[in-house]
Amino acid sequence: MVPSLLVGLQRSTAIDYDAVAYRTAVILTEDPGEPSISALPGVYVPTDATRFQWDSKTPSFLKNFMQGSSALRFGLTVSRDSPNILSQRKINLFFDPAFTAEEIRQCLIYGEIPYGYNITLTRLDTQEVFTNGTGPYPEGRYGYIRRYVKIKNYTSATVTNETHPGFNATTQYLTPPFDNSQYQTFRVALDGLWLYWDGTGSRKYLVSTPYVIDPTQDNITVNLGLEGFLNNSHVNPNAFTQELPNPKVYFDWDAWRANCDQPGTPPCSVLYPQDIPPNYATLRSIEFRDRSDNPIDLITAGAKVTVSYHDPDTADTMLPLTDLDPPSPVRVGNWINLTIGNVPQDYMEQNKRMDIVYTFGEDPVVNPGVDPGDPADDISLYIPRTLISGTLRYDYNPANVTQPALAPGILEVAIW
Amino acid sequence: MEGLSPERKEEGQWIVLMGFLVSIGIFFLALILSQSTIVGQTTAEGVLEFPKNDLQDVRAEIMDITKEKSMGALTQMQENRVMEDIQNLSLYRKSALVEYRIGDWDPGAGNRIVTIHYNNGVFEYDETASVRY
Amino acid sequence: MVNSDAQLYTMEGIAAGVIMILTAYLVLGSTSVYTPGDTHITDMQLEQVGADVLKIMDTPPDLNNASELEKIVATNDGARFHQLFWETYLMSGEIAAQKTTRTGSSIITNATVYYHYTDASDPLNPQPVIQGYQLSKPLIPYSGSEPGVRVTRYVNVTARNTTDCSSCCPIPPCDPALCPKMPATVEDRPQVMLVEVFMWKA
Repeated sequence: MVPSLLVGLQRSTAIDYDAVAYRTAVILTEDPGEPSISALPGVYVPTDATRFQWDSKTPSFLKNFMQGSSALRFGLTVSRDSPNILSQRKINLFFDPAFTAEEIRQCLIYGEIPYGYNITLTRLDTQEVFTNGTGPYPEGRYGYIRRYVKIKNYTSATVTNETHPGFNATTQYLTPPFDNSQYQTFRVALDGLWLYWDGTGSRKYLVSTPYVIDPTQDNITVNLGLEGFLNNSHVNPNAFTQELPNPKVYFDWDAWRANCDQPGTPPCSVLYPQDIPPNYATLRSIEFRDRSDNPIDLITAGAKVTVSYHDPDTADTMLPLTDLDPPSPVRVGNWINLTIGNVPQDYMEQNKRMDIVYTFGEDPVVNPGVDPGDPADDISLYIPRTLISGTLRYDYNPANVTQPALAPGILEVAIW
Repeated sequence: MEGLSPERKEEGQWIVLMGFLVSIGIFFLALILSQSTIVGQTTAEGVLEFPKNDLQDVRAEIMDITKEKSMGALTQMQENRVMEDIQNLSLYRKSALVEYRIGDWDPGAGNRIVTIHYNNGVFEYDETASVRY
Repeated sequence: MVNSDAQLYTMEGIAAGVIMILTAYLVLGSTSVYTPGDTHITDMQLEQVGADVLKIMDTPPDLNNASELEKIVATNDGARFHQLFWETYLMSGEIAAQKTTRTGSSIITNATVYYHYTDASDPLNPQPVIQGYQLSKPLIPYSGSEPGVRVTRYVNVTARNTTDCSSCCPIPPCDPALCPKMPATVEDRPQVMLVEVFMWKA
């Protein structure tokens, strides 16, 4: 008894820190945090002022929230039933420098003592490091624990003429019925029926939280590479052997120069006056539409939408697009990168569908010498600068979407 | 000490006796003190004793089997054999009794009930879960 | 003067008591094997780390793939197990603590797979049998005296598989005789096996 008595007195402080570190790591890696909605993906749960996902809010909201009598706890797992599988959105929010040490102690470490702490998360695939702490590891004694975790990745879809030639409308324009609308649209479809359900026939089951593509929880990114779809490069020898009953022609530019001003084709001068192949297309709007094709005001509903695009005049500059709809038309040279997060459950659950609709369209060009009101003479109007068309299914097909693969990582907690 | 006159000799014995009494007293105080600061050690021991990882593992495995059953990947015969695997492995390698029952699919409620019982002699765990696959 | 004598006895008594305690402390303290550097890898921490590594190895990366641990058990690929469990995860170089003051101490692992089958040699009285086979051998054999911890994980195996040589023999054609095989008593059916890893500090 005597040796353990004295040794016990000596050891107690170090082991106590280990216990605090252990507890902190358990909260981080085995708990979804509080407040949280412990529902299955795609199952609608009404939210109110106290019932929401803590990670769907901004740091300033949470700072106010924790000042009141409301409980806030920083747990990082994607759900209650998936220990060691962490949500990217929770990681980003928890490691936000906006939170002070005092707030981290209040909502994660607990206890009366103002512990020093260092929490580090290292992704083993990208070596990306997230750190939150009152300082580096101390030289002296500290409590420590290491946990191994998997991090659920966000998904993204990249569409270019090379990866998805099927969206190049070349053939569509030469096959009846001819499309003679003024605008061209490209859609990306997110449908709860195929995002939240897996299996076939009567054996359908809900996709489990760590593997689901859930726009209400995880960011959705669409990278649209327009360059290959611009109306300037596609060579089709049949282009001008067809009759052109509608204005939507695509260009083989050499053939065009040889053929314009011929009977039945538009005059060379009016379409692109400088006779230069277009190096941009005009983006009219990006809209969100539901299953019945009614527009959804996603931004007002609280979703986080960011768009950047490649302006052909300022080359590599990426500009934020603030005005989606109604739009100020912008010239896009190549990439339009769109990221959506925090989609409200009102618009995304099991039976809901949301389409991202890109609309491209040029200002009408009036053909001199003809009456603009006469459809028969309108042959030169609305020549599109891009050929993109169709609907991309955002789903579990790896050819379309980078899957939400789980990446290994190490979470370390030191307390002193 | 105050000289060694005969009447003072026994006082030295008193001093030694007093010393023993005081040292025993200090031991008791130290014992109480050590009990109050030993918390950290018992936390680590408590963590080791509580079969958290085993419970999470058994639970995840049973949910996996439920899903395979839902997908039609297991026949009733195979499912029974898998249950024998889990029960025997857990009994002989982990000294824990595991029993579970995967209920039938309820199309009205859109779920099935899974009950899990775990007992390793120290800790007992029971769960009735509603599983939507 | 009797009063002051009594106080003197008490003080001397306390002094004697303190001397006795101090002596006991020094004698017992000098034989204590307490080493502060060891406290950060206690059994509790090692067990948690081991259980975590098995858990994430048994987590499928996405909907279309089986977990690493399932693949390893299905192909009986001990080399891959050691590479992942020990090199990639347990002794990973990407440790924040390692980059500062703490250095990792070497941990030896020994992995065994246990499976359950029915011994029907007596058809009237079939017996359940638990059998184990080595998945990955330790670099240094266990002496039996080091303190160690044991972590386990249940793994789904779809069938008795003895044919996949892809990782043990990267350049075909492979000699099937060289492929690590599951023991003959493993039943050819979907089953659950138990991966047991024993870890100790070298």
